[in-house]
Amino acid sequence: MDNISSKNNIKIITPHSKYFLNFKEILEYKDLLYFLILKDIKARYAQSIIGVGWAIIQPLFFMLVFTVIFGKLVKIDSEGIPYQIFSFTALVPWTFFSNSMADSANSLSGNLSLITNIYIPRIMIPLSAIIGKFIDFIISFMILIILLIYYSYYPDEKIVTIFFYILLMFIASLGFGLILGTMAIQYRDIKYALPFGVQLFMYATPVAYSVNMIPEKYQLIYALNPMVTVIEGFRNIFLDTGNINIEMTSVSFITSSICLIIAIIYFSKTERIFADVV
Amino acid sequence: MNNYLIKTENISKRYPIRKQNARPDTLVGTVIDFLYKPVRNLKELRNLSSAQNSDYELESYIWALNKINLKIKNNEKIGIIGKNGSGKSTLLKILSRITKPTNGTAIIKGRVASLIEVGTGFHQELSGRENVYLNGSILGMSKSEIDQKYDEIIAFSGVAKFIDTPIKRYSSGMRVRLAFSVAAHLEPEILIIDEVLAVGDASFQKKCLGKMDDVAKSGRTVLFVSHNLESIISLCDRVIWIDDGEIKGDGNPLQIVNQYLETINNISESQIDLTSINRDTNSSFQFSKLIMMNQNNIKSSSFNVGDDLIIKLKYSLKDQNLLKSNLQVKISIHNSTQTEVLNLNNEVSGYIHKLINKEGHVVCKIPHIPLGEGIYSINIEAIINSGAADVINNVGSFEIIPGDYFGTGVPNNTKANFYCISEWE
Repeated sequence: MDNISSKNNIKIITPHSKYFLNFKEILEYKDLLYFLILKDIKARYAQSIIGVGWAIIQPLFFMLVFTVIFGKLVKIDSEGIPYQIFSFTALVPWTFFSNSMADSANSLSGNLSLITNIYIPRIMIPLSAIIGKFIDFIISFMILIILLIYYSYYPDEKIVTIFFYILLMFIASLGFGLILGTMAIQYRDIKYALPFGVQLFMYATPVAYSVNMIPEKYQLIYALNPMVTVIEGFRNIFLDTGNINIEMTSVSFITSSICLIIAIIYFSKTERIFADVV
Repeated sequence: MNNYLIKTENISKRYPIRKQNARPDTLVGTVIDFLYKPVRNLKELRNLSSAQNSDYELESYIWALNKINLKIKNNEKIGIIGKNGSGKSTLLKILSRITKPTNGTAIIKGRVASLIEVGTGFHQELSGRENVYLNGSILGMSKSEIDQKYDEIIAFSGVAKFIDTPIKRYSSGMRVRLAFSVAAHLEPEILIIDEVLAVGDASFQKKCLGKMDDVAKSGRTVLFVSHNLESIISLCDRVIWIDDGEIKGDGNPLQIVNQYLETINNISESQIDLTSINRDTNSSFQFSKLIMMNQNNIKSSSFNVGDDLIIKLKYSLKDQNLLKSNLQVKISIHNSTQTEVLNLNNEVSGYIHKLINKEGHVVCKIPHIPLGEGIYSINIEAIINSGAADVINNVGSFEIIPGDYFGTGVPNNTKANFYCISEWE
């Protein structure tokens, strides 16, 4: 009597695993992804007074600190743009990247019961952590728009390219987050290295300074960090600075794409032993 | 066409065992040991994953499952029994795809839902309603499926009034009821359940057993692990008995359960030689003998309620490096349905035992044993330097017969599981 559904549902369990994601299965569990994202968003600001306001406070405070230290005291060259808007334009994507990468890296080892007590496509766990952070990004992005209007910066038709930079930002945080998260299941050292690793990463990213301060001959190496291109893109679109360097953009896009593919393969190969190594 | 829903071929699973390490006794040794620690940690962590590669040679490991071959047909209700650590849960986890076998394959036809834990993924901050949807989708239901059964789920759980309250404000009983209601409304072709009925109050447990009976009767295949042998007999039409990772029995529930009970309920000798028992751990430390005695130092495996129970464990040490380390001994006592009733530990009791000679013994005395009538089995475990040095489950067993616990001479013929002093005015 179950013949029809059974035929569609044959699973073969072997010691080995696939080299890549099972997209059919991910589609079957799409409702789960939705509820995991919802959980992530709702649980994050539960029982807090400011709630989702925290999404704004973090980049806003960094902006204030950077403006005082780098803008006023160190007097970093911000290409003639008020330092606060110069740094905030970079802080919006950077905050998303650093938070979502850290969240997805911690998501697997932080949800052990989902790994050891039930089978779900485990990719859902880091994926929902990243998508959940996107709400924060949208809110701080709106603050950015308000600031831009206040400082009278109006983007032109270049604005359509923003989707490319947002995509790149996504690819980068998923790639890094997935690799770190997969490692963190077996080696909890990742958890301890992450907070200061993210800080170091920020200094390798033109958040507080301009990309032009990096000598030209090093710029292609610099662009191995995909967030360099994302931030340059944001500044170019909204503040009309930083020429878009096609070479740098390609380097960033290709490296982060390769990084994501490696991350997915590494994740898929390791997924079979997740429950054994936690 | 074959009509098997689940078919396994030589399913095996191995896990590494952590080795105990010699404790250095010089300052230089301690420093080297400290510096070498990250290397050792890395090796240990790597072993966790290497163990799943069957070609990889491990120093110490255990086969949690060893060449399991099973064929399960449509509509079968299968109970799985066995001692703690026999591999029951590992089998369920492989069939639920939580973990992969080290060797072997399994073919499963049909949608599987597994309940290894009640309320997997429940989030404290979310409301009951949100958790129903989250937990339901984790168990493999789609949103529309949950929508359809939502009212039924809430009605079954009996927490309708609090459904919009965060579940951190629920009592633990309410949480379990809500979680089980979601699980009870799953409609997979194969349902895998691991000892989840042990939670919740008695009346809800009864309700759940009834619901499971419905599920079973509606023509689905159920795999059910439980230590509650009575519910296994009443729910299942086939029982599989697993011991030490191998299938020891498979067939008629009553017959297999009785076979199983016979092995665990035999009273052992009062003096048991342990040197010939096969162990998975390496042999640098071994228990060599277990002796049970009463308060008069008479060897026995049958005690009156209120007697003193003295367990003497002799050991031998093969690895000189372990000298001067502390030996921690755990004795755990299980009743005939394999529920742990006592867990005794010398360090917790305030007694530190140093390994001084190559041969030695530890004595554990339980004055006025407070256990009710029945047959009990003993598990022993030695821990040296935070590593398991020797583990023997079901090493021996003893019988408790009626006795004068209170020393008043008044007969006390109760079926109670425990005795204790009470003060009356």
